[in-house]
Amino acid sequence: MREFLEVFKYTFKENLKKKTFIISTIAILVLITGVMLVPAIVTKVQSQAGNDNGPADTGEKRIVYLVDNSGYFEKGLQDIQKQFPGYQIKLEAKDKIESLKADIKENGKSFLIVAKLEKDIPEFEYYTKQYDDGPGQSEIAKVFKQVYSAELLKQSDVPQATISKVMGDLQVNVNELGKNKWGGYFASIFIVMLLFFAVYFCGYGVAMSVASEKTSRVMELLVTSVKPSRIILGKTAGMGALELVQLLLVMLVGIVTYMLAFPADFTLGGMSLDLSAFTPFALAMILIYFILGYSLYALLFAVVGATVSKAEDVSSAMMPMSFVSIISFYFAYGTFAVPDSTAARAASLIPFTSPFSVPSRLISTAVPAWEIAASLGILAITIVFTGMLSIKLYSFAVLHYGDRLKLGALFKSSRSGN
Amino acid sequence: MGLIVENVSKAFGEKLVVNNISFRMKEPGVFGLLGTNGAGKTTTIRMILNIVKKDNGYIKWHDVPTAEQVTNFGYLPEERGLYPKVRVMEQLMYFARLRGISHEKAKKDIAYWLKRLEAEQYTNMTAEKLSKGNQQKIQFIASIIHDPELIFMDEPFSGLDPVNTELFKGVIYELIEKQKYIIMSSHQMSTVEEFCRDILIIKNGNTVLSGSLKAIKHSYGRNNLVVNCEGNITELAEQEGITSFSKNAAGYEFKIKNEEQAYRLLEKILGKRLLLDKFEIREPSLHEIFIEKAGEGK
Repeated sequence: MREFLEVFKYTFKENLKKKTFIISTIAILVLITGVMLVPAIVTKVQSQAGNDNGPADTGEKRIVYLVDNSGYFEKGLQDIQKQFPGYQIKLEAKDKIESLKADIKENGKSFLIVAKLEKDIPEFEYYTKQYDDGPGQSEIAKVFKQVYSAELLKQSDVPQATISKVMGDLQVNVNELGKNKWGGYFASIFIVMLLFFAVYFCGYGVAMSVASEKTSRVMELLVTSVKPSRIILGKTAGMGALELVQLLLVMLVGIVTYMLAFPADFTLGGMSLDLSAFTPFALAMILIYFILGYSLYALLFAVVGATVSKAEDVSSAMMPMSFVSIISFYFAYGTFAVPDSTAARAASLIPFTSPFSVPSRLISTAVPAWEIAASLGILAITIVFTGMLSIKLYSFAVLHYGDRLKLGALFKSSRSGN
Repeated sequence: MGLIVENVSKAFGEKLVVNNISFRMKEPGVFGLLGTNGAGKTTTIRMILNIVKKDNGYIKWHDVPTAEQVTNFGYLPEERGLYPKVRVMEQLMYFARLRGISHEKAKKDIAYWLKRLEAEQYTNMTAEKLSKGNQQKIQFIASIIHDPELIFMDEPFSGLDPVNTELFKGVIYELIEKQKYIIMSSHQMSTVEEFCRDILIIKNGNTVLSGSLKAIKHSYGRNNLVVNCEGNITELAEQEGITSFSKNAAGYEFKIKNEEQAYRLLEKILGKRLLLDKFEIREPSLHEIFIEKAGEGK
């Protein structure tokens, strides 16, 4: 235990001092702060921009000319004006169309709507200098349909009170009883990616650290000072603890900036981004799954690091493990969109995918307790077996110099002790 | 008691690297493990340290398998290595702490050894900034910081300049005085001869010579004659039936059948009134024995 703790402390301390750790931590924290501040900035900009039916209030309203060849809209001009408070709606004669079009093309400060009858149904030509400038196409259609419908009802002697009721919007209040789907979806993407990158790059760090000890030839001195099992376990735990510190910092900064700056009513394309699914239980499970997922991958990555003689060979040696981790990541990533599906449940039980799958599902759905327990149990047992195998392979590979050890040769040789 | 290596072998695949090697080191001192490059010396040391698993035989230190007590031993590997970007004091402290030495004692012992090896000024430097020789000093300290009773030194003098070689020799004498058991592998025969009481010469994994160095040399007899004088004495030597010789700046070196041959040659040199600086009848050097036993020309 003492030897394990010494390796752990040394690994933690030495990597904590590294520039790469300090710079990456600062960069991640700045990124998290930025991501959390973006909705606040967007909300502020939107509130300054006013509503969708008019441009920003600059003191002078832009003119929307209406040439009514249908005869339905002249009388309802006031109602149209009410629907476009940001613009001035002005009726114009038919012979002005060409001059108005020329002015729009030249200056782009006004707009023209020409209404005509086509088989007794109104049809519109809308002229604007650029597509996304002025009132929107769907908004024009909606407003003019309302006025047209009201006029038809009036002509059919329907009472004004009834017309008002018919033309009014019906309000639908949505009350979600489950977890917020979109908030959970985006949060799940964030969590699965955060965990993957944390596990993968931290595991990569372990492989690099082992390979560096081989490259610098300090390994021979090290393995006669302390048992190889203590080295691999202490090193893995040390690097993991450091990554855990980084992860806790990310969470802390995320929570603080969320509480201070994230707008409660923020929506993205009309979709709510409620992050209330990040309960203390969910956060605790994220940390537990990080620790277990990291342990599983890092122990294998340490063996990969031990199979090479030069640090620059680590990337190529990592290929098989990279495939395993990337496939696991995409499996988890591909299933949490439907978090209660069979595939998602399977991903939560497979030890290589569960560290990414379960935390993301916890954010977007109610995962049954038995599934969490089974997932943790399978993962823990796999880690124990992987750890035993990794120690055996590491002890053999760590003093092998020369050509990179292939997986088959590694298993064969470690069995025979060569 | 002491170190016992008995019938130890190792093969890597089809290649037999060490074949049934046996030796014992019963008393403190220096044991020389000699052989040409690739003879199996480092593999033998690694098997004793359980870094490489032996195929058969047994290795015991004080009647306990060495595999169970590896971290008690000191090991200066042939391949020099330290953490390049870590300060000298920090990495020495790390190795000391791994060996279970308290922080205070480790600090005191590290300071002693840095001073003893004239490396105090490198305490706060990173290893990558040190010369090869100074890195070797630091690695040496790391290997003996826990005051081991059994120490393995694989080529301890390689890469050292004459000044640092003398410094290391002084430290080895100090360890001998402290009753340490030292297994030394080296190509520098003069150095081995200086320290080693017993030797083992390996060739292609096989033992070709082993035992007390003194007894080995004695068994060869006093059949080397070294003469340094003015003039050419080749003809005089041939007259006495002495034909095998070499000549260098230090003079002539002859192989003689017996000491009588040498004395007759001496009489002839004196009779010719040649100025004589050196006339020595001696046993063969370890270098000569090594060349004979392990060299290609054997």
